[in-house]
Order: sequence, then C-alpha cells, then structure tokens
Amino acid sequence: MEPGEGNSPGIDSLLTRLLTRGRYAFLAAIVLLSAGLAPFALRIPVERNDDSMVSRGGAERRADAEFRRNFGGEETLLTVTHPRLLEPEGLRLVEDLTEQAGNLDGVSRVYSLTNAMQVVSGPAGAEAAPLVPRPFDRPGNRADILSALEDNPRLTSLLVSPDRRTAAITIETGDRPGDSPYRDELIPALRRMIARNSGVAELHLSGIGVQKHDVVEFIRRDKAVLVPLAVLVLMVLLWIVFRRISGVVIPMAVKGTSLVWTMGIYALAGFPLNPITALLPPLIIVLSISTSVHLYSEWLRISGNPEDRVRLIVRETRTLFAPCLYTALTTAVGLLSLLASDTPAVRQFGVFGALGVVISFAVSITLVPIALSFLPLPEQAHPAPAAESPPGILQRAARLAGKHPWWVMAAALLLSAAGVAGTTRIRNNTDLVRFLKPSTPLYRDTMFIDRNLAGVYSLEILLSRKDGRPLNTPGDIRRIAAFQEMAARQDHVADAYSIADPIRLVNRAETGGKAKGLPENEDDLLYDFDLMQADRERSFLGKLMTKDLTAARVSVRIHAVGTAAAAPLIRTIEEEGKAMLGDSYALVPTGTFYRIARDSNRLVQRQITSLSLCLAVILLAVHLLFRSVRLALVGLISTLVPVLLTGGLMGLLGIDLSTGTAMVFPVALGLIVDNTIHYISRYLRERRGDVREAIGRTTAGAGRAIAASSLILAFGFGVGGFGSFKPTIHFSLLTGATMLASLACVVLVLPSCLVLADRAGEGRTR
Amino acid sequence: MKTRAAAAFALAVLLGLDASAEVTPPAKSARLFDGARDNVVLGAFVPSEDQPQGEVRLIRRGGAVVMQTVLYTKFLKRVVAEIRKKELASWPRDREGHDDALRYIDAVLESRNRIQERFPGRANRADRRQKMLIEFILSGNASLVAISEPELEEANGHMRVVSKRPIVVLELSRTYVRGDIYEIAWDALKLGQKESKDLLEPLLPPDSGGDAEASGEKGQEGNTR
Repeated sequence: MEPGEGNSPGIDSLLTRLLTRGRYAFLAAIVLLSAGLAPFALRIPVERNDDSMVSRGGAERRADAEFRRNFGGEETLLTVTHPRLLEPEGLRLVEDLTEQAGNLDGVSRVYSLTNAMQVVSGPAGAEAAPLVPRPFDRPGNRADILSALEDNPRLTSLLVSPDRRTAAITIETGDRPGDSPYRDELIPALRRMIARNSGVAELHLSGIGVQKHDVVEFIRRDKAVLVPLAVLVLMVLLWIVFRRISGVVIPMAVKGTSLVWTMGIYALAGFPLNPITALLPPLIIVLSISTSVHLYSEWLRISGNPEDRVRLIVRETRTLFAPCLYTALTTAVGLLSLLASDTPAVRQFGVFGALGVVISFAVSITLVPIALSFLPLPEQAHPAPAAESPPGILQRAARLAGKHPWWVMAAALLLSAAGVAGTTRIRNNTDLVRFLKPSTPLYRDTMFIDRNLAGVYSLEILLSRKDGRPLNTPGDIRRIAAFQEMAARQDHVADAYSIADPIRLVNRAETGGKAKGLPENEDDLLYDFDLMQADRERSFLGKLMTKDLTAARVSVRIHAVGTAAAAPLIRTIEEEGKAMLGDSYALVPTGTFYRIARDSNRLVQRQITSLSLCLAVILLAVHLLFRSVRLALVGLISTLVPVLLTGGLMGLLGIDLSTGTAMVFPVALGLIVDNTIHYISRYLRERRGDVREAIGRTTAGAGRAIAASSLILAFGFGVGGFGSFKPTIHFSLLTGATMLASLACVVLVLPSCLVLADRAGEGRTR
Repeated sequence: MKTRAAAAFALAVLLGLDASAEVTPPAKSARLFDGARDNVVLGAFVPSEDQPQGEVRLIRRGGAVVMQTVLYTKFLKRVVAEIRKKELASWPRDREGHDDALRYIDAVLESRNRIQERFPGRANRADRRQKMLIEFILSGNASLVAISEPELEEANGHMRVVSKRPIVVLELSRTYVRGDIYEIAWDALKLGQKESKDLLEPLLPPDSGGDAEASGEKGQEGNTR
C-alpha cells in the first residue's frame, strides 16, 4: 500500500463534495474570513522596546524591575566633537545643546561637562562646585577645567574623551507609564537638533533609546519592502516554473490567504512585531508554497477524460494528501522546536510560523483543488513546457545516483566532514551593534562613542548584604571598591563605577585633600553618606545606591563587544566577585546587556535541545509515514547532509550563532525533510522492477515539483537578504542556501542511498 | 519656682563640672537659664520643615526674652559655618556690636569643637545628630549668649530640651543681643520688619535700647537670610 492511500474514502468523498456542491460556499467562507482578519493583519503594531528579545525568567525580571525602579530609566548619549572643546566656543556649544536637550518633552535630566558638579574642599568641608567654572572666558579657565578633570578621573571618563575633544551629553528619559508617543518624537527631535548644529561640530547619538527607535523604523521599513519583494520574486519564480497564469495566481491566492489568517491571528493574540517576528510575513509567504506547488505540478501531469476532471483532481489530491500533511507537520515541528528558546520573540516566531504552515496546508489542500476544478484539464490547455519532461540536469542527477551511488555517497561524506569541521568554528555570539549594517547611523555613532568615551554597554551588578542590613560600614565599602577595581581590570572593560568613587571624593574634600582613600572609621563614612543623602537631587548617591542603602550598584562599562567576549567576562566578574565578597554578600548581575549575554550563553544548549527534538519528531513522522526503519534512516542521511553543509558554511564565513541564526537549523530541517518525504513517497509508488529505473521515474515525477518548491523557497528566503538586521539577513540567506543544498541532496544523495539500501536488501534476501 | 530654678542651675553646674573647662553660668543669672518656665511665643524649623536641622524659638522666660536655637544636625560643622557667615554679614566692621559678633563666633566654633570631640563617645550610637543649644537672653539687667550641649526628647514633632550641659556663657552688649534677636527673627522665624517689631517690642525689656534697624532692609524684604 502506498502512503496516503489508506484513509482515502473519507477524503475522497469530502473533496468530491467540496469540489462540486460546496465550492462556492467554501470560497465565500474563505473570502469572508480573510476580509474579517485582514484589518487586524494590516494594523499590527511594532514593539517599542526590546522586551521580546530577551528572556523573562522570574528572578531576572524582578531584579531588572528593581534596578529600573531604583536607578532610573534609559539613557541616550549625544557626543559633541569640537576642536576647541574646552575653549569658550566649545563650552558654549555643549551648554547650549545641554539646555536644548533638557527642554525636550520626555527628558528628565541631562548631564554634561557644563552642568556636572565636582566635590571640592570648602570652609565647612566638602562642597559641590561646578566642574567647569563660569564665565567660560574667564582667564585661566581652561587650566582650571583640565585640573578639575584630572582630579575626577572617573567622572571625566563619562563626560569627555581622553583627547579632550569630545564631550558626552547624557540624556535621561523618565518612565511615563501609558504614554509612549513621546518616545517616538524624542529621538527625531534630538536628530533635528544634531542637524541644526552639524556645521558647528561633529555630533553623534547613541543609546538604548536610539536603538529601540531605529529598530522600530527598520522593522517598518522591512515590512514595507520585504513582503512586496517576496511576493514579486515568488510570482516571477512561479511564472518561470509553470508558465501559466493559473500557476501563479493559485499559489499566490494560497499565500495571501495563509498570510492574512496567520498574521490576523497574531494580531488578535496581542503581539506586536519585533525584529524576529518581522520575518513572519515573508516566511509564511515562502513556506506556504510547498503544498500548492506540488498539487499544481501534479495537476499538470493529470491525463484522462476532461468530463471526469473532478474525480481526477480528487485522486491527485488524495495521493498527495499524506505526503503534504506530513511535510507540513514536519515543517511545523521544526518551527515549534523553537519553543525551546528562552527568547520570547523566537518562541512567537516558532509558534506562529508553525500555525502559518498548518493554515497554508489546510488552505492549499482545499483551495487549490477547488481552483483547479474551475480550469480545463492541462491537456486541453497549452501544456507547460517545463511539464513535458524532466530537465536534463535532473535526468543526469538520477543517472549519476543510479550508476555511481558510492561515488555520490563518498562526495556527500567528504562534504559533510568539511561541514562538521566548519561547524566547529561557529562562534556563539550576539552583538547588538554589529547586528546592524556598518552604514547605518546608529552603528557609526555607537562605534564612534565606543572609541572615544567609556564603553557603550553597561553590565549592572547589584551588591547587597544577605542579612539585609545597609551597606554603610567601612568593610562594606572596601569590599565594593575592591570588587569595582577587579571588574575594571578585566579585558574589554572601559571602566567601572560604584559608590566608592563619590565617597572617596567627599572624604578627600571633607579632609581638605588630606585623605585620598575611603574613610577609615564608621562615623566618618556615615557622615559622608549623610552629606550625600542631604543632597536633594541625590546626584551621586541616587545613581549608585538604593534609598535605604541596602543595595549598591556597580556599573561596569564594556566596549562594543559581542557576547562571545562578554559571556566569559561576566562569568569571571561573577566568580571572582563572589570569592572576593564572601558568603555574607549577594551579587546579582542585571540589565539588558547581562540578559542578552546570558541568553546567548544558553543558545547552544537550547539549539541542541531544539535540534534533537526536531530530529526525533521528524524521524518518527517519517517512520510512521513509510513504516520502515530503513527508509527513515535513508531520509535522515539526506536530511542531515544539507544541515551539516550549512553549519560548515556558517563556520567558514564567520557567521555567528545568534538569536537570529539559531533559527536556521530547526526551520531548515523542517523544510528539508519535506523534499525527502515527497521523494520517498513518489519512489514507493514508482518502485517496481529495476531500482535505477524507479529512481529515474521518481526524479522525473517528483523531482520537478521538488526542484520548483526548493528553488522558490531558496529565492523566497533570499528576499530576506534585503532586510535591515544581519541576523535576519543571515537567517534568510542560510536557509535559502540550505534549500539549494537540500535540492542537491534529494536528487543525488537520497537516490544513491535508496539504490544502496535496495542492494543491501537484495543481498540479505539472497 | 525658685526651687526648680535652683535645682536646674545645680544640675547645670554639676554637668559643667563633669565636662572640664566648661563655663558655669553666673549665679546671679541662674534663673535666666532655667527653661522650666519657658513660654514659647513663636517657633520654626530651620532651615525648613521638610529637612530640619534644628528649631528656632522665641521664648518668654520670666521677665526675660530668649531667642533659642536648638540644633540637632548631622552637619553641625556646616551649620556653624553658616552661622559664622551670617553673623559676619549682619555685623560688619562698622556696625556697633561687631566685636561681640566676633566673640560669639569664636564661642560657637569652640563649642562645636567640644561637641564634636565628645561625639564618638555618645551613649546612643544610632543617633548621629550633633546637638547644640544657643540662647540669646535679654532681660532687664542681663544680655547673655549661652551655648550648651543639650539632651533632647522628641515631643509632638518638636525637640524638647530635657537638660543641657553649658559650654559657654557670654555677657555681650545689649545692642548686639537685641540686634541678633531681631536678625534671627527675620532670618529663621521669617518675620518682616514690621511683624518682628510688633512682636518683639512688647516682649523685650523696656530699657533695652539698641540698633534693630541696622540691617533692617533684610527684614523689610522678608526672609532673605
């Protein structure tokens, strides 16, 4: 019995009813449902923060929320490079920009060289004084500023570059719950401000707020460009393959319906688009091709009485039902295996991608036969040139696999070995800045700031006593200072900041410059704390300790490195920190950068889980479909070879494993196995007599649809190469490349395996 | 009443003996230091109610008028520096009472040092506020400034003086004491010139002449100190 033929009567009668009496009602239902969901699908908002891009463990989320509550919202960095920065004209520009930024809606505080305060010795002890004295044209001002900068090295590293030509203006935005439009306006307003002053100085803008704003813009841009581009490319490819209007219109109708339904449900589920799910629309357009192409391709080969076309279409659909169902399910399983990811965006991508595949199968298996039932049988129309006979290349591939299976297998083995070697070179690395193209303003600005000022990333560490008491003894502060110094010494760390810095400054000023270090006795230390607490703005204390002094923040500024470098750095800081602080203290790393690094760390583990799960389910599905361990193993070989080749390609090209590229393998695996299932299904139907002839017939029969759908998928995914984010570009191009490798494997390696398996079977029989 | 005053004075003397080199209030003026009979006319937190470092009170103590400043602050050094700054501004070289102001400043600075020296040995380690009591006392025949280290107790949101350890008692000119009572009324009690005059003149001893108008423009402007 051939696969898919066991439960045919039910499907037959259902399809017959659908194709005769029910087709208008069904079409009307599809149109109505699509019309109902379209408004939602067309109005999916774009996520305005990075919530979905980082995992949300309970403890981590609490730590992050606590950190934000205590130490404020996000910061945007504006830098001003001026040849005479510390001269009156440079200082006036910084002051003017500081004031302009402070007047923008949503800005809670602005810090810069011109409004920064330092701690100096006064008649009554420590006093706050402007870092830059007024007026700017006062004689000797430059020398005084340079002296003040030298006296406050840590503060200086945040405010001005070592060459004293670039100043940083830190713009802090407040949290306004329920009011997000001001965020949309703030970054463009800052950019307009930059444009107005661009002739006077070199200005750059970076920070989490800018990143979020630009990512939203990139998503909008990608949505506007990639979907129409994917549609156009697929239409062209369908025309090239089928050379029939119906061959373009019917699969495109399936794509449109699947897309509207899936994205409509996505919108109704309340999810906004994020950098990962922004790929869903083109993905669904591409993934929904397979079943409709196989059905249409098979329809082109139908021959029989034109009056009997409904029965012929039903028979054809029934034949393809099981393979198509299994391929849809395996693709869906591949996508669902992304549920193993920690990243909500990846999980959403997996779930709705799988839903899209299932919807597209359901729509294809009904809409395509119904649409075909309106058309005359292909023999009565112009036969598609491509439908006449398999292209020479497929014939040659079939002959090669039939005659020299060992050679083919040896070549596949060699390539797989190269793939494995390349795979070992893949680096686990998430690099937010380098996710962007080097030509983007955010990339350029961020790298400029990273080169000229303290690092662009911040690893935030909260230190507290396990007994819950305030961190205000000399011992506590000494430990915090030692921890800070240890962190600051690490590679890739620009600098580290903690409460020990202002305490040192206050202590020095309080003692008239005699004491250089931390206070040695408790009264002096508590006095310094009292002084800082008396500052209504809590400008020093509020940024570094909680109000009740039970938690201290150590802010470790890290250069623009990816998580490949950051993950071991964080591990070292944590381990050495714990050893240094002892059992009485708790150390909790937090902040967006930490969460990204931690997620990246887990990526490989999740990837293995995801792939293992995916492979197991796919193997089981193939085994259930063909009821043969041998065929399941043959299928496994032809499925794994393209995956290994893609892994090797990643390693050789230096493409990192990241949130985006980690999706390649599960998605590709689900798609590759489709080709295997279709080929083996056909092979089982063609298997009679000589195995080589069966292979030839299988390649001639199923090879065309497989080649068509693989090429369409490859080029369809290729459209993602025009995206804005490198991970999505890599995801698209690598998945596309995998589809090409899969096509090569399915017409060469799979037939060779089948020939060899058949010989082995014969040998055992003899 | 006399018994209580005598007891209070005796206690002050004892405390004074306990603290070496502390000045004993003159016996003839003992009742002027006895706060048991205090009648608070007006009071205010300084510098503000939300961040108080002390309280200033205008008090009737028998026939005397007392402008009392109770400081309970973690920043005594700074508060004293502020007092010094204001005194120098209020009593310029050409104003009668300038020398008294200088003596007063020296006394306050000395008292602060004494309080700070004793601070690490305080009984209540948790309380890190340093306390100082300054009283400008003007009666029919006395014009004094007394500086003590008080024991305080919180009552109804205010600090009540439970006891005090005298550190310095200065006999200064009536002009200066009267003038500074006005200065403090303008600055700490936030009174304008007319308000302060209306309030203080009926209270102050009738024989106390002096120069209340020397820096009167501050009072007219109101609360500028």
